[in-house]
Amino acid sequence: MTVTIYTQSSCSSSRKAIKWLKEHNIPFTEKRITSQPLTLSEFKNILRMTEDGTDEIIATNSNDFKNLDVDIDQLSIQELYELIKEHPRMLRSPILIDEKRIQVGYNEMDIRRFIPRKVRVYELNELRKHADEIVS
Amino acid sequence: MNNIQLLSEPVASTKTTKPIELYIFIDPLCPNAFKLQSMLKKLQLEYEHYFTWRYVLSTELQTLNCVTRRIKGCLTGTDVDITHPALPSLAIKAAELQGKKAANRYIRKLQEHALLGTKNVHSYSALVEIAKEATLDQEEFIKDFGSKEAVRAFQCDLYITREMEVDEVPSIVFFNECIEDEGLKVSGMYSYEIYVQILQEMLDEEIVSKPLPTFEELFQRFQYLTTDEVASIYSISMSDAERELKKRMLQQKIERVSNDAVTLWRLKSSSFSL
Repeated sequence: MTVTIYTQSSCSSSRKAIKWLKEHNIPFTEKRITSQPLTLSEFKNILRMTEDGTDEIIATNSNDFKNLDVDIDQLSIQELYELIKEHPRMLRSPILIDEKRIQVGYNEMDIRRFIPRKVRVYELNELRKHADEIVS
Repeated sequence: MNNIQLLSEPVASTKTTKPIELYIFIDPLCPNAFKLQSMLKKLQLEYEHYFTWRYVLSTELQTLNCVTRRIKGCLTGTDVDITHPALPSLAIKAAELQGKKAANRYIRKLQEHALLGTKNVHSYSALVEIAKEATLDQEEFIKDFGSKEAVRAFQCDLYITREMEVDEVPSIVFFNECIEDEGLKVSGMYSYEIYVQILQEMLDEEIVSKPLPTFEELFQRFQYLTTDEVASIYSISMSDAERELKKRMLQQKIERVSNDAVTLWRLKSSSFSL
């Protein structure tokens, strides 16, 4: 599965993240939301990966957001989506997402989580395993 | 810790990234899932400053092939309701489209009804009612229930299950920050100490637990708990836990709900907050 990166124009963090993905040969699709509005389906897929819906993805310090003067918590999902479609810069940038996780903003440590990794079986001491089974 | 933020970025949250990721594979209505979730509650209380987690629904494929039943139901007797064993999983995915916390509230409500037998949690109409009880955006939930987004989210979980070669539920896969390391898969259920030990092994530093919350804080956070869970969280005996719980019940802080199979303690409805 590939990474999707939602970027904004003239955003240095977006450029850095893309450069990083290329350097690490991680397949990705870029979508520049300042020229191509986010679809409702994409928006929901982003929300799905967040902890608390909006806190992580809204750039509360941005002028776009401040000028709007709205209480996010009072909005329905539909209303919030309409707002974001109109004012994409109220979102933080970039937003990276794959089937497992979301990362907002560029951070050279955290972005490494998108490097595919293998999984191995944790070898528990068999004796202890039996002991636990007896206890539980 | 790894909070190297760039100056140009409009940063609101300065949340430090947690070093461990947990993928928790459950079949949400399977009794084993409840056991694992009890363990997870304590792990969150003591060590959540080290990890993020998400549920991956590993619904048995055979349940997906079951026949959808149409039943007449509801108060009017005219509405058609449907039931299917995979409906709860799809409902959870629809809830998840409103964020992970919303999904967790939904799962807790769903399981509460399943445990107490107060709703047929395989029926469409009950699953919609639960969305309301879990304070979701209900209108959006109805649109998302069975939408291609919810189905795709469900498929994502099946994909992750396959990718991490998880063939048993419950299972947990741990990843640390060191990308050269493989993820660790722990299949089945073990005692609490084992999971703490694994966290420790994956961290570079000495693991430090947070102090346990008070009873009141505990119920604010998890809404309902079994006597067993309370006993295990505070490492006290069942009878001590029961005594403490009854004390709070007399103080009208919590209430006891039970049927033949299970006893749950939850905040008094009036003080129920999410």
